[in-house]
This record gives sequence, structure tokens and C-alpha cells, in this order.
Amino acid sequence: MLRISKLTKRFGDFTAVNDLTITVEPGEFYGFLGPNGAGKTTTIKMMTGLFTPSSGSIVIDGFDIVKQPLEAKRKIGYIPDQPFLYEKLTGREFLYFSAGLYSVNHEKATEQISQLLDLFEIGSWIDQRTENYSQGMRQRIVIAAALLHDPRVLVIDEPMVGLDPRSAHIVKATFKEKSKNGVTIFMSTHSLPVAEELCDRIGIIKDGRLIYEGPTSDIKIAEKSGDGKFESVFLELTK
Amino acid sequence: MNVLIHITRFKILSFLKLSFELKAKNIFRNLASVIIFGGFAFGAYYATRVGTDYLLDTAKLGSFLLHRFLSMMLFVYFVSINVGNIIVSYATFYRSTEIQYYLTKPVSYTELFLIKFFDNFFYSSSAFFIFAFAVLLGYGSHYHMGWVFYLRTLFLMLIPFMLIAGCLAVIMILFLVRYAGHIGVKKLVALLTILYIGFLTGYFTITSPLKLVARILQHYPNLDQYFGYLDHWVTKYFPNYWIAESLYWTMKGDHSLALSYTILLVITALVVFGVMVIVGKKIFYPSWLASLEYGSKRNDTTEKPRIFSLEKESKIDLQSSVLLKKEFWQFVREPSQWIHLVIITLLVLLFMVSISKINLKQNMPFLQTVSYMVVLLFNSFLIVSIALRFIYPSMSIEGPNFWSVLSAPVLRRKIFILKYLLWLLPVLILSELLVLFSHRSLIDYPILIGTAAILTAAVAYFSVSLNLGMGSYFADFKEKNPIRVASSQNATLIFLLSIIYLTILVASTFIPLNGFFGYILKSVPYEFNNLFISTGTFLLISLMAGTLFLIAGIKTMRRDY
Repeated sequence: MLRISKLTKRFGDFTAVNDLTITVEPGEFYGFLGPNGAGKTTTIKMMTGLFTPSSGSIVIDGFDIVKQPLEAKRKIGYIPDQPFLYEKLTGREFLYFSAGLYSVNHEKATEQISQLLDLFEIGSWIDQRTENYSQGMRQRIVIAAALLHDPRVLVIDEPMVGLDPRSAHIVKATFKEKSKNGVTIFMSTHSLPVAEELCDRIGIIKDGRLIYEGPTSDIKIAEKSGDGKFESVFLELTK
Repeated sequence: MNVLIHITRFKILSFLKLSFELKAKNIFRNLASVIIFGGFAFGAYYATRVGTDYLLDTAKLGSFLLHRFLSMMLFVYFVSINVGNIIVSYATFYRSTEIQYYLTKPVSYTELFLIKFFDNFFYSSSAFFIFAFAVLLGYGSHYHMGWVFYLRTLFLMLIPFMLIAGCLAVIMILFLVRYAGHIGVKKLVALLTILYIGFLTGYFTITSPLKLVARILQHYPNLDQYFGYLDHWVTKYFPNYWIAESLYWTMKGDHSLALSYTILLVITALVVFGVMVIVGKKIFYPSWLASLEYGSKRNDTTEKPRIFSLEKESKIDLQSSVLLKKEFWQFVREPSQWIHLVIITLLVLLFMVSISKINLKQNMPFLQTVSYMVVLLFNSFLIVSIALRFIYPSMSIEGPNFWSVLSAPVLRRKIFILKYLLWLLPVLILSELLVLFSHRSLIDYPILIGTAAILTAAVAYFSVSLNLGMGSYFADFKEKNPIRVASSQNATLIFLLSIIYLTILVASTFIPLNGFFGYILKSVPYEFNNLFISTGTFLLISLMAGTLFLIAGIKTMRRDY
């Protein structure tokens, strides 16, 4: 599970994330929404150890990301908003590289990579340098790399950017399957239909504060009271 | 023209805002810049002043010989600017995403070319300019020159001189990239390198300072006269000669002759600049397209390496193994890295072969000390340069991809230390090889070879620690090109710090070594402890300072990414 308690991040005088508290249960799919600059990516960067929180704590499957960073990171699969890859490595090399960082042994890595290549239909591109890849191809490699070590918690920042409809469908199905198998998923997205389709619960952040949290079913009720669109509920909340 | 001014204005504004933003890091950097640049400029000024006083007043070598030495120094200066601009201009013109952005805007190719040229010129020549100005002040102060002299020399001689070097560099790189596809990049680079080295060797052969001094000394004691007839005719076509002549005739009071050389220099600079603009207008865009085409051809193949493959199992722990292999492939697949490494390796080999033939044994203790120190300093300077070029940018070139390592369960300390060891070992081996080759003639004095081995190892340790530590502190994850990182303002700062460190090397060992040579050559009583203490002190300073930079580098790994 994932437990964020009273999390705050300040950059000088600016508070990007303010007293944020969220708990995501095992197997739960949590959607993290908010307008640009609300603090979504900052929160995710703290969850993955890229930023140090100013105060508060993040516990990943029982391990505090600040106090026990290695144990906590072993549990996480992280998919960033921008799929940056080492350009001089091939896709396959990057996957072996990622597997090595998580100490996945060679035999298991080879098996996992083979399965993920089939799943994401990466094909012959895999042995070309990633500098030649399109955004969608990079995104597929990054998603595959995040799944290599069978993480207990998936932290996802804007996963559908650059993916064609077929790839997006595969990715959504994979996330659903993972969630069904008990993997905790924390996903930040701007795509309201994706959030509505995949998430069990939704949190909306604005100016670093959580302004709404509730099950997706509540959103559906709220939609009925308005014009029937999630977009209108979101716009009203983040006004 | 309006577009050019508009873009330049915003570039300057952006530079000023970034440089003077009130952040602790900026304040520290600017303060350190002022101290180090100021110290270095003062050092250059002082050394030039003392050197000029010595040559003219004590050694009484005469103005002619002084200005011929000046001409040779200016030639080295010209080549340094030229090579610096060649190296940086490839990244500026062909690897910059800014070019792609401007190509989608209504900016003409010529304007775009000029924007990038000035960007390149100021980026790679600003440190040289400060150095040259300090030397000019030292030189001029000997002759008690007024401000008009400095302004004239600066704007009508130094800047046109630097402009010629910069423009020629850009013309060369434009042709190189435009026609690389026809001949093959590797062949063309090899050919140009050989031609360039051949040109330098040819120049120094025809202007041999030793021969010139010998021929002029035949006229002793009447050295203060004009020996222009001794100059080889070829040298008269070089801009460094024109500056030297202009300065010489200014000092002799023949202002019309001095002015004629100044005018020649300015006209040449304008012509070369004009030629570069025409060449840029004609072939900049086609060459940019050619570079894209070349890039796509090169990358359109699948990769299945046999050695150091990330796909193969390793005997060391998995994390270290993949991190080291990643470093290796990132390095050897980046042309700007391996081409430089090949060139530097060739130069180092050439240097080793040449220096191994030099007999360091002299009869006079002072001369013996000087020759020993010069070789030691050459070796140290080589290590410092290699560290700056390859180690300083090694953290920055992780770039935006670093998320994959930093978000993984790897100790950040481990990432840093692996990188550190990866560089320290080859640099240490290289440093000891340099000592072995360069001090062969002193084989009868193992104590001297041992001293050189310890001092050079200390330089290697310090340089690797300084460059990786500060390269991490000043890491620029947005700059993709290692060459631009290695020639940035922060890198220049680190280079100057290294020069100050080498000055400490000379200051702490010169007198003890001189005493030791006095003992060997003239049986002057000598306390051996002096040599051990000075070597030990320098080693201790290097270890302490290097470790401090190392710790600083490890600490920066903890910061937000």
C-alpha cells in the first residue's frame, strides 16, 4: 500500500505541495488529477525519491522513502511524464540496464523482457538506439522497464502521452490487470476519460492542496446533477 | 537585421537573468569567478610584467627578440582559439535544438547562422580574451603606455585577431560537415587532423625560436636593432606577425608603420568575416541537412555488441555491472567523445615518444630544476586538460535520463563512486606512464623518478576529484553536448582553479628540488628531508583538497533532481 502523510514541499518561498495526505490500498487504482502547476509531478517526484520532502512522510509498502529509500524504491515501478531514455543505448539494452538496477537476475530479466516486448508489440525496433525512437515507442519502453521487477506499487505520471490508440488500449489493459492482481497504482493524468475509466478513487489537487477525494462512483453521481460530464465537475472544482 | 538584434537582445537578457539570479549557487559561483578569474588575470599580468622586465632590462635580449617571442605566443593563442571554436561550433551549429526551433520561424538562414556564430565565438573565446587583456596590461605597463594604446590594441588588434581565428574555424567546420558524406567523416576528420598537425609542425620548424636566438645572439651586445631580414617570408602572412610588428613599431615610435599593420589586420578580419558570412549563407543550411542525413544513416542499424554487452551476465554485482556498462556504451557511441579521445590519445602518444628522447640532464642546478619542472608541469597540464574535457561533463551528460537511475534502488553514493573509480584508474595509470616515459633519462636518480611519480599521482587524484566533484555540483542536465559543458563558464572556473593548483605545485617543490640538484651537480650540502617534506606537503594538500571536492560531489547527489 501507499501512505502519504502531511506531505509538504517548498521551493524557497513557494509551496508546491501543502500538507497532502493520501492513502492508497493494495490493489486500488488511484487517479491524481489537477490543473497544470497544481503539484502533481512534484508529489510523484517525492514518492519516487527524486525530490526530498520538506516535511511529512511517504510510506511505500511499509518502507519510508526518506528513511529506507532502497527498500521503498524496490517496491516501486515509476513511469515519468517524459519518457527520457539513454539515447546511445538500444531499447533492449535499456531494459537490461533497468533490470540490473533493480537486481533482477539475468535469466528472469530475459524472460520478462521477452514477454513485455510481445505485450507492447515493440518488434524489431528494440535493437536500435533509442535516439531513433518516436515518443510513443519511448513511452512503451519506459512502461516495460517499470514492470520488469514486478513492482508492488506503480507510480505513473501521464502514461498515455504519445501512445497510439492500440498501444493506449494495451497499456490500460495491463494496468487494470496489475491492479486486479493486487498492485497499488497511483496515476497522475490530465485525461479525465482515462481517470474515469480506470480509477477506483480520485483525488484532485489544486495549488498543492488536496481539494477533493472520493470514489469514482461519486463522480458519476455528481455528473448526473450537472450536465452529465466529468469535465464540468472537474472545472467547477478547480475553478 | 532586426531579427538578429531582437534575438540577441533576448539571449543577453536570458544570460544576465540566469547569471545574476539571487541564488546561493549563483552567488557562490560569481564570487568564485571573480576571485579565480581575477587571480588568474592578475597572475598573467604580473608574470608578463616581470617577464618583460627581465628579458629587456636584465637579460637585455632586445625588443626585436621579445616581439618575436610575442609573435609565437600569439600564434599558439590563435591556434587555441581556432581549435576551441572548431570543437564547440559543431555542437553549436548542428546539435543545438535551438536551431530546430528557429528553423520553424521566419528567420533567414544567414541570420540564424550569424546568431549561432556569435553565440559560439563568445562562448569559446571569452576566457581567452580575459587572459589576453591581462597579458596586454603587463606588457604595456613595462612601456608605461596610456589608455589609447590599450583601447587601440584591444579593439583594433586583439578582437580582429580573435575574430579571424573564430571565422576560420567556422568555415572549416561548415565545409567538413557539408562534404563529410562524400568522403566519409572518419577519413575527413583524420585527414584534417593530419593536415592541421602538419601545419603546426611546419610553422614551428620555420620559426624555430632556438635558431632565431642563436642567429640574433651573434650580434651581441647590439641586440636592440631590427632583425626583420631573419624572418622567414611565410611568417609575414600570419596575423600574429602583424600584431607583433605593430606593437614593435609602436614601441619604437614609428606609428605610421604600426598603423599599417593594424589596418592590415582589421581589413583581413573584415574580409575573413565576409567570406564566412558568404560561405554560411551558401552552405550552412545544406550542411545542417547533411548532418541530419548522416545521423540517420549512422543510426539506422541494429546493435548487438559482443563485449561489455548489457545483455550478458557479469561476475560483479548487477547494479555496478549495468552502471559501468552503460557508462562505457554512452561514451563510445558518442562521436564527440570518442573522436576527441582518439585525437588526445594520438597527441599523448606523440608527446610520450618525443619526450622520452629528451635528455633532462643539465650541468647547472637551476637549469636542471627548470627542465625537470617543465616536464612535470607538461604532464600535469595534460592530466588537468583530460580531466576537464572528459570527467567534468560526465555527470551533466546523464541529462534528463538520470531519472531512471535516481529512482531505482541504488545508493546515490554508489553511482558517484563508480563513476569516480571508472575515471580515476585510467587517469592514474596514464599519469604514471607519462612519468615513466618523460623521466627516462633520470634513471640513475630513482629518487627523482619517485618524486615525479608521487607528484603526478597527486595531480591525477586531485584533478579527477575536482572535476567530478565540481562537475556534479555545477551539473547542467539540459546540455546534451559534453564539449559545451567542458567549455562552459563553470568549467573555465575549474580549469583556472587547476592552474592555481599547478602553481602551488611549482611553489612548493621548486626550491627543494633546486637544492637537491645543487647537491647532485655541485656537491652543495643539502638536507634530504626538504625534498621529502615538500613532496609530502604537496601530496597532503592534494589529498585533502581532492577529498573535499569528492565529498562535495557526493553531497550534491542528494539534491532534488
